[in-house]
Order: sequence, then C-alpha cells, then structure tokens
Amino acid sequence: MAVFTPLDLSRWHSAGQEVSLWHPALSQRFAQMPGGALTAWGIPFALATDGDGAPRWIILGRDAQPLNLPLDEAAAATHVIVAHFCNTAQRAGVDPAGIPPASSRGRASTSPTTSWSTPMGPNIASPSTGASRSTSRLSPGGSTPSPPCRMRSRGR
Amino acid sequence: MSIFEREVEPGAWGWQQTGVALDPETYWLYALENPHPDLPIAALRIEPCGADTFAIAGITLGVLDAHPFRHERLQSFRIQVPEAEATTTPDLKADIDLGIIVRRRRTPPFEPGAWLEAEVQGWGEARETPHPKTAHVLDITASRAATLEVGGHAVPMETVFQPGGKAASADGAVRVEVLGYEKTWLHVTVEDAATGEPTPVRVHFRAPDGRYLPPYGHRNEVNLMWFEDYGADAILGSTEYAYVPGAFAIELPVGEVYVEIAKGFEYKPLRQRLEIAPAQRELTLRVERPINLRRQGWVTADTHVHFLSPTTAHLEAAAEGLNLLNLLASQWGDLFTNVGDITGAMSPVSQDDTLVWVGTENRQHILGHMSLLGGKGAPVFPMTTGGPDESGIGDAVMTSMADWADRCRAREGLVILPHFPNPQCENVADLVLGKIDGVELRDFFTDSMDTFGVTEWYRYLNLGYRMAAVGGTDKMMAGLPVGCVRTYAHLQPGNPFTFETWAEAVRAGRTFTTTGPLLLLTVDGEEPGATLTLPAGGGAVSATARVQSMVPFHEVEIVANGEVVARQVAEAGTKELELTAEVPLNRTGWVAARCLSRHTLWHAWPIHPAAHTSPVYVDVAGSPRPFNAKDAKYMLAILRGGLLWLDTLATPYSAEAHAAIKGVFERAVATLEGRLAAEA
Repeated sequence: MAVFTPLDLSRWHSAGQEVSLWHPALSQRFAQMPGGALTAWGIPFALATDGDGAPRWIILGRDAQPLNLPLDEAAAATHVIVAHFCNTAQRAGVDPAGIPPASSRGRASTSPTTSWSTPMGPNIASPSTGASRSTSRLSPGGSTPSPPCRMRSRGR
Repeated sequence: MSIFEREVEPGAWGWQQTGVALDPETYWLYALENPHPDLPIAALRIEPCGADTFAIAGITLGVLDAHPFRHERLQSFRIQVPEAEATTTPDLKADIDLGIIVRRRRTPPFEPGAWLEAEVQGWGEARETPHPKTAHVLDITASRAATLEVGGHAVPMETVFQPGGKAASADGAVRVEVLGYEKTWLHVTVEDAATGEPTPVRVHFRAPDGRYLPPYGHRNEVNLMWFEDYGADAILGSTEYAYVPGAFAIELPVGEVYVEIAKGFEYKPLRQRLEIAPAQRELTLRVERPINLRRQGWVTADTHVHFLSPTTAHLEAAAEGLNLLNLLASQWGDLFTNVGDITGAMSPVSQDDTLVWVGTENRQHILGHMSLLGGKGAPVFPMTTGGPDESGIGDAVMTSMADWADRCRAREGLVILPHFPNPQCENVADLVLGKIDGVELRDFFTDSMDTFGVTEWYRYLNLGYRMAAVGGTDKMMAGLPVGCVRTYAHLQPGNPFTFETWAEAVRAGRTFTTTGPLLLLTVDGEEPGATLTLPAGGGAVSATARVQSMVPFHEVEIVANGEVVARQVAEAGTKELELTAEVPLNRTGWVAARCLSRHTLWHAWPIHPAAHTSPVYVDVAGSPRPFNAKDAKYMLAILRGGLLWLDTLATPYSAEAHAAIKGVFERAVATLEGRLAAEA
C-alpha cells in the first residue's frame, strides 16, 4: 500500500503565468494548468490554487540560485515525485520567431497550427539524487550539508 | 458506452473515440528514487544547471514498494461484494489510487452448457437490464502498490497481478480475483470444412466468465449507434463480434475459452468450447455449409448498406456469405458519405464471388427514399432535396423521385424502394408508373407476417403492379450486420454471376427476401417472377414452398392475392419443411410463399427470422388485370396529399421543376382515376 505526503511549497512560489520567461504563445495555456489539490497518475499533489494571478510555481533556471526546501518535519520516502514543466522559454536566435514549442499532445482544435519539436538527443533535464550518510535527521529548516535530493536541469 | 452518451466538446469527437485522449494542459511528472529510503529526508535541494527555465508546481513524498508510475498490464477482475451492498455494475462505487479502472463490464450471465445448446446461434443474445448484483467485472491497470476502494472497503492490489491472484479487504467484505491472467497469442485460421480453405467469418470469443475477447485490431466495447463504429465490428444485442478474414491473431487466456462463428444463412453457426494450452500458437476452426444455394444458381445480396469503406464492406460481405453488397452513398443534412467511393462501375475491391458496387440512396423526407443500384457512369445527383432531415437546411425540392429512377435506369441501374413503404408519398406514383424494380421487405418485428410493409406491398400486387421482394439492411450502425436482411436472386441457368445478371434476376422477380430462412417456391413448376396462364374461368395451380433454415422456424404459408390459402405449423420449430397446396384461382392474380420463426434475432432491434418470396403471377384468360377500388382510393389519397404538400409546404426550386414534380403525381392520379372509372 502506498503512502504519499504532498508538500506545501507555497512559501517558495516565485512566479505565475505572467512571467516574461515563458514563450508568449504558451502563456495563455499556462493559465489553464490545474491548481489546488491534484491527483495525477494516482499521486496527490498540493498545488497552489490558480486564477488569482498570485505566484504558483517555483521558477528555476537561467542563472537562478540553488534552492533549499527544508521540510517542516523530516520524513521517510522511497520516491520524491515532482510535478513540473519546462522547455517553454523562447531562446533568442535559436527558436523560430513567433512559433511555440510543440505540445506534447493536444487536440487538433487547441494545438498551434505550426510548432517546432524538441531536437532529438540532448536532455532537457537530468535529475540526480544524493543522500546524507552522516545523519539520519538533518536540522529542520537549515541548510543541508549534503543535499538529500538534488534535481539538475541541463540545457540543450 | 456509446460515444454519443458522453459529453463531447467541439473538436474532441475524434479523440473521444480513442478513450485515451489526454488533457494537453497538464504537468509532467518525475519520480526520483531515493537510494537510501531508510534515512528520513529533512530537506530538498534543487540546483538548476542549464540555460532553460523550468517550473515546479508540486512535490510529493512517496513510500511504496514499486515505482509509482509503473502499472501492471490491464487485467480483468471479479469483484465480489456483500449481498447487502449489491448494486448495478455502472453504479458500483469503485476507485483505485495508483491505476485506472478502464472498463466496467456489462456482461450478462453466461451459462456455457445452455449457450452451447441454444436453438438460435450466431445472431446475438439479449441485452441484460442492469440490476443489483454482488459479482462485478472490472478491467484495471494499476501499480502493485495500488489500493482498490469498493464501497468504502480498501483492497490492496499487491497480490492480484499474478496467476490466480486474489485479495480481500481487511474486513473480508470485498474480494478481488484476477480472471484469465495467463494468456497466449494465437494465429487463428477459420477453414471452410468443404474446401479446407480459409474463409472470412464473423467471430466472437468468450471467456468462461462471459467477457468478450476481441481479435487483434477490434474493439473491446463496440459502439452500437448511428455512424459510430463503422469498422469491421458488430454488436448484436449484448454480443460483440469481429469480422475477420480467414486468418487472424488474437490473445486468449490459457484454459477454457468459448468461440462462436457465423457466416450468413447457409453455414451452420459454430459454438465450441476450446481449451487453450500455455504457449499454444496455432488454432484452426472449421465451419460447415450444409446448404449451398449458390450451386443452384442463387446469389445473395444486401441492397442497402451505408458508411463502410468498400474494402471493409467486401470483408463483411464475404464474412456474411453475401455475393453482392450495394454500398450506398448519400447525404444527411450537411454530411455526405461514401461519395468518394463512387466509381460508376463495380468497385475494384470486388473479388472471390463477392462484389461491391457503390450506388446512391436518394432521399426526400416526404416524397420517399430510392436506392439506385449499379448505375454506370456519373451518379444520379442530387442525393437529397427539400431540406431537413434529409438534405441541407433551406434546400429546395429540385426534382422528383421519378426523375431519379429514369436517370438510374438510363445508366442500366436498378431502382429499389428501401425500407418499404415509408416515406411513401411519391412511392405510390412511381409504383403506379412502373418505375420501381423491387421493394425492400424487412419489417419482420412481430409474430405475424402481415407487417405494414408486406400489407402495403400486397395492395400494389392486388392492383396488378409487379415488383420484386428484396432484402436490404439499411446498415448504418454496428448493430446491423450486413446481409442480416438479404435478397436471394436466381440467375438464369448458364449465366455467370455479374451485377448485370443479378439485376436481371431482380427485375424478373426471381427473388425472395429473408432474415434467415431459405424459402423456395414453385407454382406448377415455375419459380417466382414467372407468369402462368390458366384458361378462361381459371383452375387450380400446385404451389410448393420448401424451407431450409439454420434457425428453427414455425410457420410456412402460401398466399394467393393477399390471402393465406395454405398453412403448415411446426409448433416445436423445425429447420426443414415442405408445404404443397392446390390453389384454386378463378381470376388473374398472384401466388407467393412466406415463412416465419417465433425466435428472435438480435439486430439493432429484435427481429424474427422470416422470408417472403416474390410472386408467381397467374393470368386467367378473359380475366382483367387485378383491381381493388379500396386500395386504389387509398393510393389516390396519398397522391393528393403529395400534391397538396407540393403546393403548400414544399420549397420549390423553380417553376419548371415544381411543375415537373407535380406532373409525376398528376399522371399517377390520372392513371388510377382512369382505372377506377373503368371498373365502376
């Protein structure tokens, strides 16, 4: 039997769909991304509620600093499951002007009439994990001398 | 569930049919496996290291023994609930966390012994009215770490995804059992027992628990209704079928499996219990053809099929033992179907004694419908006129059905009135004016052969108008298999089978229409369509009706001038019967035979196996053409109603077109009034 603990990330939310980093052709669709209590593939998430324009995502990349997310209470986990999206910025000089990235899958009526696809080969994100072997419990709210879990996003 | 029972957003209709369309506005998920799950996590650190931007919407910590995203392959499970919690399967409160309940089976109870011995085989079974029950079958894909929740009882699924897998809720109230976990892929060949050659058939495989097991490439749940599934699938009552060529692939559970095979009216339906061995790869089944009217020069056709592609139509026709399938293009408001398949010639898919010709069904909601078969060259357009619900909103009445018939015949085509008699306003005029070659008789819905269609046909015969009885399905849905109502036509001896020789047989009236029984009539040795001559004062003719059928039938009748003159009843039902009667005739008229079964076939609507021959006509010297003033007045009332509609409600296309259409009615009125006056 599986046990899941959704984390409340609200104190770290830094942006919503208004962020200029997104490809302009996609910002409209971001407004439709689900919020609140979400069960995806059977896994519960505690997302920020949408619709009020308030920050609802943790934004990373483009020279952002590493982010520490101390848990209110240390917890055991076999898996850390992340709901995210990426590959959505407009890269000057790289992407065709005005043409958004292709939707992973969309209905014909809502998909852009023209889009480009992610080039095959390069990773758009490459996560890795690590864990502390020095202690079974890290100081609450403090920095992590050895990050228990690290995500790494690698550009194309 | 029918796709039209679901709420469908604009533009989503196509995707909806897949059952797996995804919402494009969603997040990607990623699961990082913790290599040290024994150590509590105190904090997470995320280091961006690329040029791109990404957003994190949520993070969840999970504790489970399997990868949270990996699901076991789809399996069927029997869910047993307590008697006090019995409910219908659709109303069963069931949910699963790490997985999906893909399907709630509405499988009726299955008693293999009774099923194997049933009197009627090959034509579906009754649908079950949903009622509360304690055993349900759900198809589920899920993680082994999933929990199935049924009516508030939690059942861990850890132990069920394996052979014989079972589980129960902690209180023991709900029990779950996997069905047919071990499976094997098979190459199946269906052979004609007489030739040893593979032959296309309609096939149904069934698990011991009653679940349909479709061959590869066929739907598990066949959508029943209009224009939904028009691939090579069928559903008759509660029984799904797949149309397959003689060889196909299917994954079957190891162990006990049941199969049903049907192939038209001359092959014996096959129901058989199979024992599938582990790792078995081959399966050969054989169908027998106890009756072979083709060898006696009969060919069988469906005069009326819509929507299928010509290639699928050919497969289904061959699987149903049809020699000719008339696929009809038409217009339905703003929708046009099969127009791109019209070639003005035999469809190039035709082969192996199975022909397909794409014609048109031309339709007008008041005047009538008309199937134009086998016309050569350009099609007869427009296919509909006069606005909804046949043609587009605002369309005018451009032309008469008589004009359609004349243009079809000029192209050497055959003119049929489908689903006779409705709608029938101009039908009357076209029958009186001799523009119709045959009428589709198919409304065998009651325990009587005196159906509306048959009764109306008799009116025309009793007025001396001759037209063949033909059978066509009007197939527009998976609930109607092609040829479930069909025309048998007897070719001239020595004639090869072509569309032209078939059309000649229909024009000559050497036909019978049937939903199963094979009914042959001779009158003084002549077959339907022939004209006998008796001396002045008449005499007696000897009529013999011989019936063979794969489905037991109960009554055979000989009819003269619309009256039953001989009848034989087999109360217990029989598959073979011959009735001979001396029929006295003192005036010019006709003799035909008909046959009825009290059993039910599960077309889209329940129907009886039944058949009706075209008449043998009998001319008595000195006796005029048959006439019946009451029927003539009935027809005049319809024709005058048509004229009234044309002058009041119909949207005229032009003054000339309007006058031409009225002219058809006026000529028919004049003909009938003339005959009434002559008889007065």
